[in-house]
Amino acid sequence: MQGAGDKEVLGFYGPAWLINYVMAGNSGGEKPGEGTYGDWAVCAPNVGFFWGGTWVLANKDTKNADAVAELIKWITLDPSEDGLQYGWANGTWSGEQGTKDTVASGTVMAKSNGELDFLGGQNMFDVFVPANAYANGTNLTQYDETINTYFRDAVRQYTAGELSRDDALTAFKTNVADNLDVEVDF
Amino acid sequence: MNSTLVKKHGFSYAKYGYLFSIPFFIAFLVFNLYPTIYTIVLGFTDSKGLGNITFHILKDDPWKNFRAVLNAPTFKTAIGNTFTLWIMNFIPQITLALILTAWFTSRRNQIRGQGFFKVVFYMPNIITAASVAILFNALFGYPKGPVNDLLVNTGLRDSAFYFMNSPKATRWIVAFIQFWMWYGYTMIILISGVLGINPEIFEAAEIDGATDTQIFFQITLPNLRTILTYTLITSLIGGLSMYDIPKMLNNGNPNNATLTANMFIYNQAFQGSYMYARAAAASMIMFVIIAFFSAIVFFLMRDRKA
Amino acid sequence: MTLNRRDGNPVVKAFIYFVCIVLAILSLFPFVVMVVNSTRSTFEIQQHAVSLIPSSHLMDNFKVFEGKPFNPWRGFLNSLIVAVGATALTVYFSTLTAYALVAYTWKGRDAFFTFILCVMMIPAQVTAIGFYQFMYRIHMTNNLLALILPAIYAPGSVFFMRQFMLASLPLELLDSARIDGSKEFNTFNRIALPIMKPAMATQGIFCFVSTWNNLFIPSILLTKDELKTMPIMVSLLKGDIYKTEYGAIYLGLTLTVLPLFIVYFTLSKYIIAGVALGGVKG
Repeated sequence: MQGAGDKEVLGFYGPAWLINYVMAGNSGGEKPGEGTYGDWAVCAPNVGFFWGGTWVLANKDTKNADAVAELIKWITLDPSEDGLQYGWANGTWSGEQGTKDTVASGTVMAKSNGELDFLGGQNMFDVFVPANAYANGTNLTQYDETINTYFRDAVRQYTAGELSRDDALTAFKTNVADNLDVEVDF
Repeated sequence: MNSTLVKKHGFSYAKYGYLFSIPFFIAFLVFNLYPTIYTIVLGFTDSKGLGNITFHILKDDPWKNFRAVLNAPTFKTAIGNTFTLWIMNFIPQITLALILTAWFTSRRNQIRGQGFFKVVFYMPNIITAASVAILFNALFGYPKGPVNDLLVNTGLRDSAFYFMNSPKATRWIVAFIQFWMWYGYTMIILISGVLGINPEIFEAAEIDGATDTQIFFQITLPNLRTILTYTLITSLIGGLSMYDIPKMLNNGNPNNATLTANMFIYNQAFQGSYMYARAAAASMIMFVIIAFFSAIVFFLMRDRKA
Repeated sequence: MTLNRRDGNPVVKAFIYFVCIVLAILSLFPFVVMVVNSTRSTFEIQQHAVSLIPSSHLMDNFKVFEGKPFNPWRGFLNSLIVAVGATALTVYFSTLTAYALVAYTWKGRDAFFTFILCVMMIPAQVTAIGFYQFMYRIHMTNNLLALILPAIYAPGSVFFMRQFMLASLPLELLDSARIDGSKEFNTFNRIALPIMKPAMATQGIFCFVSTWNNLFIPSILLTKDELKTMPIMVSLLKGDIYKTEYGAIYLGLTLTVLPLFIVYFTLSKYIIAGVALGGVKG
């Protein structure tokens, strides 16, 4: 909240992968001290959010059902050090000094080393483990991406001053009503 | 012109006329007429759902889809945009093309390197519209993008401008892309038309002491009427089907400012809830509108058939 | 009154040259940006969007393609198959139909021509939905033939060919061929076609370019990755919301345009002259 802390800090919202895949390369440096590399930190946002991720699907007509099941289990449910997610979280899949990724399993993240030089040595998993609670599937529909896009576009217009708050909401709802087979309360 | 051969030694060649037209006609029936009728029928059904080919004719409320489409504010916006964007693109395009035509066919001021200019001006026409739109989306990026960099560095603006968030700006960019892609093509068509005018007319005018401007407005333009009408029709039809550019530039945004009729139809049918019936109804409505305007232009064209 | 008027007014001329040069830069600038950016890395592009100096990341951008589920060379090949197939069919059959309209008199000929003019104005969106459902029913979605065969029906091209034929095909030639015993179809192929070469070249180019660039119909018919055409792939690059690889996007755009450039520059004089030939003469 504005004015709540000791000093002014610049921050913006982003997904877990923003850190390594966008910010690090654009920070003006490659090690602490160069540009803003090492001056950043990550914290939980005021609103939880979850979107996408990586999905695994199996062909219903597969001839290797058992092998596929094993594979899916290994990818999604294996929290051991041999599991996919452990390697992913610690960045060991792409060789030494590989990029560390936030993974779905809180268990794995809790025992992984998420320390990043880019974050001045902060362990990013300390933030992402509790944030994982937001990643549940309780409110998903097949229209989510479209609805999300409509909402985002309406918000952008509102923040740009092109539409008033009420107009932006009406525009959003109109888009959903006109383009999707969904009943909308205006 | 010699009359075409009808009979020789009692053998009628007319049947070859039919014969050779058959492939075209069959292709028309299969790939054009049948889908068109199918679309018309779909407009009266409840067809929807990805990959769903079963549907039921709406017996109790046949016009349901048409009503839904006509009542949808998004559809009305789409139609309005389609016409607006076309006008915004066509007027500058035809103006510039006419000016360039006048310059390149001027008998008084011969411009060298015309061939080079023609090749270069036509170039934007061969590139994929989708690619251009993606490119322009990147060019007008905010906060960092080539155009913004240019504006800020030269001091024209203090800070970057969020082009893609401004309905006016995005519309002008769409119109500009269409203009950029087609002005060279239109110019070449017009020049070819001028080359088809009998040079003696021009010489007579010169001898009479007419200025270049007078020649252009009183001789060139009237003789270009047929071509101008042809350009008008083809541009209108192309413009009313505009899809690639606004779709790839900013997907109809901001706030559907660049949503065209074709995009609306695509969104109904191939995204979201895959409502084929509603999309079909919208297509038919668009068809009526296009047919109406084409008929008007066609009528004007027929009048002057020499 | 001197007849030496070709010199004209130097001030006007200078102005004209200036405007033309500005337009030339305007026409070329986006292409230059596109090609240069395909050699730069995504980070470089995010820093300075436009640069006239190429960089060294061409192969890196290329590697991004290799990581994608779709293969750009496959897309290239698909586009080529569809474009060449459709162009061949359009050019051949529209010439044939125009020949039917010009070389023979038959009942209903004029009605047929008027009919062609009318259906020329039916836009693609009207047939698109029905076409899609139709193809789906006969299991022809994800089949490149569904994109090639409809090219037989090309009313605009028929119109263009007819205009050209009326002006440049002497019917006496056909008569003398008949006297020599040539069958009609043979006459068409051996005599009429060669005369139509410039018009065929022009329509061929237009058809090739528009088929190559077509995004709408292929994107609703083709869902299998190995069949997708280049424009679809380029649009998919942009839709990659996980991490937009700008360098790869520019490279994709350049690759899409490259064959068109090659065709264009080899045949540019035909194009310029050919468009003139199609010239609606009255």
